[in-house]
Amino acid sequence: MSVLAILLLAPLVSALLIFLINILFPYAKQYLYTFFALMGSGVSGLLALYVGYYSYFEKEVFISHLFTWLSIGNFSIEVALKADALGSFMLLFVAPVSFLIHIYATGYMDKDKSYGRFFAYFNLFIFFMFLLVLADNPIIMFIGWEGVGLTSYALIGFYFKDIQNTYAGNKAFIVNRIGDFGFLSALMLLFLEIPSGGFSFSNIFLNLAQMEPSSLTLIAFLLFVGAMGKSAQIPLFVWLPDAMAGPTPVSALIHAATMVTAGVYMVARFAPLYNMTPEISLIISYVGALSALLAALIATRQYDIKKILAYSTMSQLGFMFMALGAGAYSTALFHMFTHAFFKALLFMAAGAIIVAYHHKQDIRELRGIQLPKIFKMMAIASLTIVAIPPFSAFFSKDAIMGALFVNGHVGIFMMAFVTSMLTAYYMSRMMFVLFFSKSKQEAMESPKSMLFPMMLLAILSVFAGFLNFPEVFGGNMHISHWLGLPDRAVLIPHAKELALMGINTFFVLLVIYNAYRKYAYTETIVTQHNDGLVANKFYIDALYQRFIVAPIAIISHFFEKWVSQFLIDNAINWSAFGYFKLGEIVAKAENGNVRLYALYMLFGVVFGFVYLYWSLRGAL
Amino acid sequence: MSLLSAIIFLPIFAAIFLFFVHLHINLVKIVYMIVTLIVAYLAMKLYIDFDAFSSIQFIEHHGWIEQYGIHYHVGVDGVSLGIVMMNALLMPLVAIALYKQRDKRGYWINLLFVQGGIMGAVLALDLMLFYLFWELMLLPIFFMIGLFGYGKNNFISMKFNIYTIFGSLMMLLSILYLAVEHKEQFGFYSFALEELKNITLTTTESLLVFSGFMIAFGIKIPIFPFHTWLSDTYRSAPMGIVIVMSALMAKLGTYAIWRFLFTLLNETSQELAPYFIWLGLFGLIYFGISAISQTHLKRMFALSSASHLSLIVVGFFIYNTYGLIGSSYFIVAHALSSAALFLMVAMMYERVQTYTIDSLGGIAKVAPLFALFFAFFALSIVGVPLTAGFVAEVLIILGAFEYDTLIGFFAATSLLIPMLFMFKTISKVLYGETNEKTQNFQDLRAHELVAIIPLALLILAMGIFPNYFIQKIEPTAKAFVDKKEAVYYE
Amino acid sequence: MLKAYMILSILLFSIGIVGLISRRNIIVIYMSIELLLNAVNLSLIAISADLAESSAQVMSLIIIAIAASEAALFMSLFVVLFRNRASLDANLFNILGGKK
Repeated sequence: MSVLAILLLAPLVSALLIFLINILFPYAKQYLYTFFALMGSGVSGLLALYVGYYSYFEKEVFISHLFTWLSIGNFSIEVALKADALGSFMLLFVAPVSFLIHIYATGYMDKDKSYGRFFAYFNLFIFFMFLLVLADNPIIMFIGWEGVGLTSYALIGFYFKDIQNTYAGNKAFIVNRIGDFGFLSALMLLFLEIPSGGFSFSNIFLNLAQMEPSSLTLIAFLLFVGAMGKSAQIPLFVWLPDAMAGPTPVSALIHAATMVTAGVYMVARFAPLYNMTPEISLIISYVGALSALLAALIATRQYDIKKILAYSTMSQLGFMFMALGAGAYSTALFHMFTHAFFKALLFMAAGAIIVAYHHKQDIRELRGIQLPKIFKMMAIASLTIVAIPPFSAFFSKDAIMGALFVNGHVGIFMMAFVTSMLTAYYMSRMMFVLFFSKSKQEAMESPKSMLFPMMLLAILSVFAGFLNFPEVFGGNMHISHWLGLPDRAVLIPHAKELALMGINTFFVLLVIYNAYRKYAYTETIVTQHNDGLVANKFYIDALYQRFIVAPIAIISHFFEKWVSQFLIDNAINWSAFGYFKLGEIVAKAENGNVRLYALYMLFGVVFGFVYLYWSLRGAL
Repeated sequence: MSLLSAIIFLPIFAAIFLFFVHLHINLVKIVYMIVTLIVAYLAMKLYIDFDAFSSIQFIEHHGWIEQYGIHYHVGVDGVSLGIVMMNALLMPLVAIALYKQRDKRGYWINLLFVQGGIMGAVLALDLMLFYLFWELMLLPIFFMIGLFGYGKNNFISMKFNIYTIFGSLMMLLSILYLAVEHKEQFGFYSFALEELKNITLTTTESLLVFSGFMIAFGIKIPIFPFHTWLSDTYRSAPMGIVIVMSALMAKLGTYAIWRFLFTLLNETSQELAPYFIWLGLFGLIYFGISAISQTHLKRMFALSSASHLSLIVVGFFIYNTYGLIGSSYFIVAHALSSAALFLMVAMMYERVQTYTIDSLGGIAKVAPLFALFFAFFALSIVGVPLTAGFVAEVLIILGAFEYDTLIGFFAATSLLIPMLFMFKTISKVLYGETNEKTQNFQDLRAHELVAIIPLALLILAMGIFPNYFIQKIEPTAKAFVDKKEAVYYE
Repeated sequence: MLKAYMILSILLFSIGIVGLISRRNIIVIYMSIELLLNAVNLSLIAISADLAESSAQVMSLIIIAIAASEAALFMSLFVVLFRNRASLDANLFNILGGKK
């Protein structure tokens, strides 16, 4: 067994074991589940570090061929794993963050009735996530892609007693599948374009040059539709806020750090394709920019702590797509890297607050909470997300801003700029309302199993930025060089970059100061009116309900009642009934009266004779 | 007696024996079990001995009514192998799952008859023989709906039978026409598939013959305008028959399109293929959307089956290797999933005495195993990865894209539409709060698990390692497509 | 001469038909049927005499014999029918027409 196979299968095996224990021994002790859950994710976490180390320092590419999935004619689809620089980079943050969130979840889910079931799904999720990342074949990647969607569905509806939770899960999976529809269609088109040599990524990129530009454009667009669904971009973003119905570790792992970034990963994976289709790249940029702006706007008027973070995730993903569209692939991935740490940290802190305050999630009710450790974590994470130097997101976000600036689309750049101001605004609003208030609420501190992973992530949030230290400060962009992606972005002059950073930071600080004036130690959050376009999320959910969901129900009813039953079935039943009626009419003549029959006979005979006479007339 | 004949006639003779010899009901069940297990064993043997790289094999050929050229002629190839296997596998499992619910001799005798009839129809290579078995499998269904059905079962049973016999009659006319035409062109009557395909027909003639066959198959599948018997029949039929109809009989219709129409009337089929592809796609969407507003579980699954069967029809009419393999694979995959799902519905009915979706809820809380399997099979119908349905759908969609991009997009909607009703149903049945009906819902018992687990494992195996299964189908499909293309480009 | 016989035969036949259709009493209907039979017999014999061919006369003798046995059968039928309905009205015996 190769390293990658063990890395991939460890969580699957632990998921299956947990699952079997859960079924066979319903009263199994909780530590048994904990043991297997941490084993599975821990093994793959360690192996991921190993793979990352060898990939970074030795430039090693790990390959592992498992079996042939399908082979038709001279074309075969292999289940092969490959950890090139991009794959190892993904592993490097997905696996350790998963492991940390597993540890956190053992604290969060402590004494939950469905503890075993939770970890079975959770480990299954990271199996699919690894499959997605490591697959050397888009079809296998698609299996992982759908698999993470499926486990996400199961985990969103984890507390299924409230049917609304399962509806949120349904919504997530259905919207994701709309994206998958695009993704799969793109893969099929791509598959048919490849003349021979297998459907691996390297072979696809070899053959790109021979394909027709029009079909390439279509493929690129459809792939992006897939990414839209998974990464919650306009118009397929509606599921993400609802997905917060799941337990908080799920939101931290799946809906912040890993799964939702899969769209970004996929677009980066297909970078050679997107380099050949600039118009689609532009669309990606605009969609990303609009999503980022819209989400940030909505986040400024939300009260649910997890929903604020959900919209913030969507907004950050928008940043990543802007960078992807501008051709700055490694920059986007770097932002994804830092985002995984600080967003997971934010969610974990939010989860700790929610647990400490008995599942209250409304920031108006949580004013003035007293959790000093959690406050420190959350403050670090918030400063990171608003991109204050020297926290990690400062470097990643400014690299994106630089790339957008050079790329020259003013509209996109301005939207990005406004979004980062809004980010500062809604994050500080949340922080000031939660922790800076005249009222005080005491609560128990979180257990160590929850605090420890948060501390690690806090350290990573602060220092991860130095891994890709920009050249302007004398760094040499280690990660970008390692990834070796075909970036299109031109380098920005150092003076301009410094100026951008300065302006950006200045405005962010200004916004934070304003937010402090407005929300800290005041009652603004309670007294503020909350209606209008933004507070109602631009009525997008209502629009979808009115123009998509409701019409489908009506059409369904129409098809079944009017077309099938009224039109077709009635036609068939009436034709049968017609025969029945015809029989009744004919039966009137056959009434059993013998003398009537004799009369018919007479008519017959007379008719026969007349006919005979008529025909023999000439002969006689 | 050789293998195929044993598979066909063992159930039929057993049924006749049970009909005339009045055994105690428990003995009847035991005989049923033994016979179906022997058939399953024989089918396993057939699967192992089956040589993927030769075409039709295990051929048996005996004279029957020689002066009219009717022969007893049976054989198996890669596509029919799947249906034979499913038929052999599902029948014992049905009995394991339902044996406590049904205590009428007729139920089991009729099921044996159906099994023999389906086996015969799948394996027949002589049109008259095919027609005979095709009708033979209808009669037990007529009796079972009439005797053991629910609701307006007599009316529905009559309607179903008149509907299908009308179709069969059209097919009989076509068959007879072909035989007579053969006599005129070659001087002797023949009903053999291999000989009939040599005759030449004018365009009008072949159109008429084609539509005769197509009406029969279209009613059985059902294709769009012939579907109105479907939901009522499923609703009122007893579960054994529902499983037979959705898992086997409907598949037989699609198989027959491939086996008979594509062999006998190749050019006509290719000319008409676009219409049937569009009809199939329309059916896929139409049935899927119709299913959304259903409140009765069996009706909903009936329409869901119809939706997927339309996709299978599309796969066959696309006429390329991917479509053909995909459809053959889907026949097996969907048979497994839908049979399992209907079994679960039967178990549920035994516990709560209702099929109404809205009156259920919260089952996952009181019966986690039931919920797990129900959700698994429902998802396998939707075609999530790692289940057999996913492989089949991907192949059909791939074939559709190879045929035409637009058609590919429409075929790919099969990713979306089944989800809309399936997820709603899963939520309403399994999740939420329990009510007075479901609060004492008993979890799966041992014998029910025995019936379901093999299906689940097979679905997973076919989804994760499709290559081992597709190797049995692939040469047949490829040889067929190669030959067709050779003919088409001549 | 033949013409007169034939006309008589046709007249007898017509009377028989009219009786068969218009009368309700089964015995009268039976008599009308006998009349039809005899009309045919008469024409057979007349044509046979005209053609000087005896085989038709043999046939008419057989017909007369059969008609005699038929009469016996009819008599027993009348008894059975009368026992069922206490009447010999033909309109009462219409159960072949299905349920009314």
